[in-house]
Amino acid sequence: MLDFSVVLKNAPALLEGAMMTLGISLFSIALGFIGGGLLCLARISAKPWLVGIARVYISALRGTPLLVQLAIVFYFLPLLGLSLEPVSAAIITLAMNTSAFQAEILRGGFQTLARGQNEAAWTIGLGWWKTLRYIQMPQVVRKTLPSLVNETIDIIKNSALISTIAVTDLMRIAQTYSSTTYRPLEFFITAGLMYLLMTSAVAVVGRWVERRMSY
Amino acid sequence: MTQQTHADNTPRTAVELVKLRKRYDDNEVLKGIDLNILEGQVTCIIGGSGSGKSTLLRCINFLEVYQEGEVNVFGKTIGYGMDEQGNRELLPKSLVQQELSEVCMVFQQFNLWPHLSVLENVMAPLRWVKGVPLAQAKQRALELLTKVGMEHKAEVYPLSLSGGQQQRVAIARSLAKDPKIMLFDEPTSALDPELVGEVLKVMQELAQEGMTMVVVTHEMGFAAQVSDQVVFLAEGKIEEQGPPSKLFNAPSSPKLQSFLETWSSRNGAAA
Repeated sequence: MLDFSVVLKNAPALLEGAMMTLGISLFSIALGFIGGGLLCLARISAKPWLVGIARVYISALRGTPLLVQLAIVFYFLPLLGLSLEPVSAAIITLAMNTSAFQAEILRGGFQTLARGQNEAAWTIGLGWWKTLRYIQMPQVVRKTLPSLVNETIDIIKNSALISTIAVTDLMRIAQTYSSTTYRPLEFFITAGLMYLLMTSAVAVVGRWVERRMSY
Repeated sequence: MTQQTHADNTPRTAVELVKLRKRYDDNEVLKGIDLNILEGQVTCIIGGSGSGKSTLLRCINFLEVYQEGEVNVFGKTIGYGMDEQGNRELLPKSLVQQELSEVCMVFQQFNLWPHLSVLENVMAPLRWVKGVPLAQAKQRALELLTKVGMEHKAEVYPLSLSGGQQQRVAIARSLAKDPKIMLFDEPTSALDPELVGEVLKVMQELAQEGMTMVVVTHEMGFAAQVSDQVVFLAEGKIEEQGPPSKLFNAPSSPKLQSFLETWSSRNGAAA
């Protein structure tokens, strides 16, 4: 029968793992938003070489498994003399991965902006940066918020893969304890519920922000 | 570039178009336009769809890049400079915007920014272009909203307003830039008929205050009453131009005659 007492006994370790998962995921999402924003600007710019770089980057990171990307960063970069802590490697990889997805989400948002919005900004006298900062970005973020929340949830779930490069995240803790206690089902059910709790919290916060930002 | 001295009372030239040509690929939309618009005057541009009237207006503030000829605003050629060899070259956008600091435009679709309140829309040119301090910008924006009769909607968002109200806010936003020349691109064409009057009234008041206005419009009544000069465009050329009394009462071009006949048969009594 299921016996969760062993899980309760190790609750602090699981909570620590969950905090690691959440911390790494949210930090990667934030970094990825900055990277994705820049990448999106490159992708929609008028300069062919910038567009080219952005396209190659985006297809490479969208078109290969995250697990492969993690392995390359963690095992390959040290060969070039760049040795990384597992946590740093995890954040860099997740941020690079999500930046490609976020760039495409944001690009979709830019495409839905009516041309007249920019024309009004031009005639008023707003330059490129101020048009981006005051007119385009606020509208694009509002329009793409549901997709960005979705991407955040994806990253939290996909971050379970960083357990393969020895980050002590929720998944890794659950694995470790299930093999030492011979109670895998209890630990994985608990881990699953904890992931669900985290992603649900993100969804709730996302909906709240969406309501606050609606016009 | 003809520019009168304004020591006498002759108004100076605000906008001058010289042999203006604009092409989209092989399709020539403006086929050599020469036009003088004096400061303080209202010029209405009329013509059928596809005649190039909106394109002409959009060339003035460089929303459309023209290829040949010149658009001069207060004697300064918009959009182009000379390189060292004396060849014409496109200026960087930031410079073009500086050249256009005296010009603003009102659009058919209003183009208010939906994520900003009415007040924030009108404050935008003051805060973000002119760098006016917040309290002062707010006060000025409220004055402008009062002028167009929209101060009671200062805190709402544009999409909750009727088309006529949005257009009046858009006019207030343009005025916040403090332009000497206002371009209107079919400002009432997207409005329900009963909302046209409130926008035309604001425009008429502006004209009376001496604003230089270039108006692309289908409102022949407005053109006849308010304008100093009417320009009839057909197939990318100026077919006829002159005072409204002449164009509406004694049109000489057959194309204009048939244009006006079509218009009045569709709208009942002619202007």
